[in-house]
Amino acid sequence: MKHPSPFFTFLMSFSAFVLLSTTGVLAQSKYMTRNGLIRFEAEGPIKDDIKAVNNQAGCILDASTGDILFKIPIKSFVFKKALMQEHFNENYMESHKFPTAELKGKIEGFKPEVLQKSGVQQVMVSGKMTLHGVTRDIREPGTMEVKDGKILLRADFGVALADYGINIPKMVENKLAKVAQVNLSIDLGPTGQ
Amino acid sequence: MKKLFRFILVFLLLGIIGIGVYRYLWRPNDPMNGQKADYQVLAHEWVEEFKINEQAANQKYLGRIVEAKGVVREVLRDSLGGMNVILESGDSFMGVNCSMESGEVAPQEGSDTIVLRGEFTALSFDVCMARCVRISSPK
Repeated sequence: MKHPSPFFTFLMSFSAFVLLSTTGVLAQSKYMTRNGLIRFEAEGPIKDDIKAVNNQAGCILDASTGDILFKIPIKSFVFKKALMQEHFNENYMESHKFPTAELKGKIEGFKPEVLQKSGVQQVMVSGKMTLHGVTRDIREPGTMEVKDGKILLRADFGVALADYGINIPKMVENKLAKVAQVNLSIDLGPTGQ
Repeated sequence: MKKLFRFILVFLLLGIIGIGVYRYLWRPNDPMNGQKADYQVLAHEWVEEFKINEQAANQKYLGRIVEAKGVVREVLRDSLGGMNVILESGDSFMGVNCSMESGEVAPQEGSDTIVLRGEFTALSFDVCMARCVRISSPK
């Protein structure tokens, strides 16, 4: 009986490895995270370090349709100054009434095959964002990259506070920006579903 | 002489008031280590409470300091060096998600039963707590 050459065995094993690795990405239907990063900055003309970080953004992406859902606990935004944190929650976001923000939408033109492409791709997310009890249509650009079996989403966009019923008292008009800058850094891993 | 004394006294008083106002305006969040818990819960019972009546549980716990006890399901890291500890709840999806204070040591996944004290923030994909610290003996 003739045994296959070591090179042939290696070639077959390597091919099987590559096939399983690449189809692993397509085979996954849902990707999610529980510790998505959101950075928020709303500094006005008078500099007062109005920025916060939240590392409890939940996000789930259906890789078969491009449907995407974000759910963000508002009180998980952490400021350096306690008074700023209190004002943010009690006076502006009223987090006791509206404890979470939500975005339900879709990555436009999403096809599962894009997960096989390497490199950073430009994407557009559209949908409905609910913040401070107000729901509005949004459409914002971002980037998507498939790396090491994960989907990395990045976006920078502005949120006009008045659009969501968040009023800035005249007394602090110079300290707080009318449009808050939001930076999203979301790394989605496969859920196995 | 009397005038000088009065001037110094007023100056000192203004200084003390100024320091007090500055410290109030610029104070950081109270360290979680020194705070007393409003509630002590078991992770699996706590998640169950939210599944039964989310609105009531939100009203009860929002902004409160909670000590949650459970087995560590997962330890997550973000790109800024932040750490989240997910406590097992018996539910395959939802757990107790604790965003840890900087400087906290990562616990062992799967084996450690720990108590984490933090502020309940909201029900998201998990029951979320922020500014969490690990405590050895509950208060």
